[in-house]
Amino acid sequence: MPATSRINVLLVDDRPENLVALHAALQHSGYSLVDALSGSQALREAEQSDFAVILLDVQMPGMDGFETARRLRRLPRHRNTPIIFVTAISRSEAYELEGYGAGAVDYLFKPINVDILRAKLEVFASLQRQREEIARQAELLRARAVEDREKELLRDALKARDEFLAMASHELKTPITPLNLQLETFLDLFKNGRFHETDPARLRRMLEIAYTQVGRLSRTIDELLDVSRISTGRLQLSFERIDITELVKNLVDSFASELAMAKCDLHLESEGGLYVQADRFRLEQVFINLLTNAMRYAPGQPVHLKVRPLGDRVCITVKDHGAGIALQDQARIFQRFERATSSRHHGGLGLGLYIADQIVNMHGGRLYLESKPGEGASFHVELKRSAAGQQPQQSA
Amino acid sequence: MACKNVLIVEDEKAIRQMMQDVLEIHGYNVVVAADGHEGIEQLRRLAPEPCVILLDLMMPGMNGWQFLDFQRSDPRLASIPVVVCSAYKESAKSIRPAGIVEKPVQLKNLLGAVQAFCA
Repeated sequence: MPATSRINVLLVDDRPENLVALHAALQHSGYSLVDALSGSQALREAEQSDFAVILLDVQMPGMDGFETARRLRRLPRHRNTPIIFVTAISRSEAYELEGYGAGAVDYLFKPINVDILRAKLEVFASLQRQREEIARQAELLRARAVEDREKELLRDALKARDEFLAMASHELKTPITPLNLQLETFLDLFKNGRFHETDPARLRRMLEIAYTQVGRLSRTIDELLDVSRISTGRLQLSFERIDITELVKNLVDSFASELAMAKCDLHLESEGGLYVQADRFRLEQVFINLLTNAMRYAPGQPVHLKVRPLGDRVCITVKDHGAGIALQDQARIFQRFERATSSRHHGGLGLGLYIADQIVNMHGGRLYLESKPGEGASFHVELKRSAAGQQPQQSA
Repeated sequence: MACKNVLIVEDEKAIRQMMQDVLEIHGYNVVVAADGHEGIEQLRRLAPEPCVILLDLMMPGMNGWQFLDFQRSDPRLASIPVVVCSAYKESAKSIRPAGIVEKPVQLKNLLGAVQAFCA
């Protein structure tokens, strides 16, 4: 049950005995009455408070009722406050029109009929109460809409999280099967003394399969841990001044055998003397992800790596010549659980680009994509350039 | 003469290859398929037909459920027992296969399930 609001009524009359009479008439009305003995006093009161209605004497020395009304109307608070003029002068049309023109909504004629006074004031009091009730309802509706929206967002977030957990759990369990089967089989063969009679090529293949599963599990675990660290703000970066071209060159060298296996010819275009303030390990992680994606999604095609200055920044581009990525998929692939192509083909959780994006952002840089279907994909990493010359090692 | 023919329908390459190697070490003849479509194709081609099918559920293209629908609607193929290999035990149970091997797969469960139908 909402609290009953206070109905404030402003009574303006230069004669105190008139105000006393009004107070008497409105004794049990329940209104909160405020008195003003002049136009200027009325304005002072009006500046301070809201009123449901203003009872305004027309014949006042100094500022008369009409002038007072006009000035009241200029106050933002009282642009729409109902004003009832009280006058002794007989009804003449011209006079009334001036009153309405000054902003009155009604007239009361002296001597005031108490019943008429109470009835007219009650109209505006009730109007005020209705207005307040509407405002209350509107606020409730607004609050409920906000609450519903929040509940919806929460539901969506929980659903996304549950789907993610299901995917993560599946992705973690999948490599265990081949690993487990291989180890159990070998143990079995040893126990039964049959190891030496088994085809060595087969044994070797089984070992290799199992071994790659360890790598796959390890990567999945690392990705999950990184995502967890990122989402709780605990991914720590350790900054140092890095020769970006050197970092990229070393990385490319270390990937020589993978690139050869994927039949991806790598073309590197770079300039020396380009430095950035960065976490070496995490920056390598970004480029490893981009290179790995290029090999995975565009095998047999050349990969172009470019390191070049761009004003006060450095831009590192990894371009592949694969199928390209459609515009509608481009924003999605940087998000947490997305992959642009069908998910089952390559395993993994599709978190690499999300993590890379987060890492680049934490360096104050940006990672963005240029691609059209059929024209391959260019991933650009922009980082702030660091000035040349010796700088002390910093930690973030 | 005991039947030794096994069909594996599984999309994860490492699992597929490992199960093949393990079963071949234990003397079975193994044919593999990477999804439901390939599985149906193999089933139709294979003569003699396999004595058991090891079926994964989550596969792209035609999944395990769809494979089963197909198989069960073909009178020539419907009688071949199917052992579902899945991480989702409840899903597997609901389709009432001849057997279930839970993933991650353990050797004795795999061998036990195959031996039950190949004896």
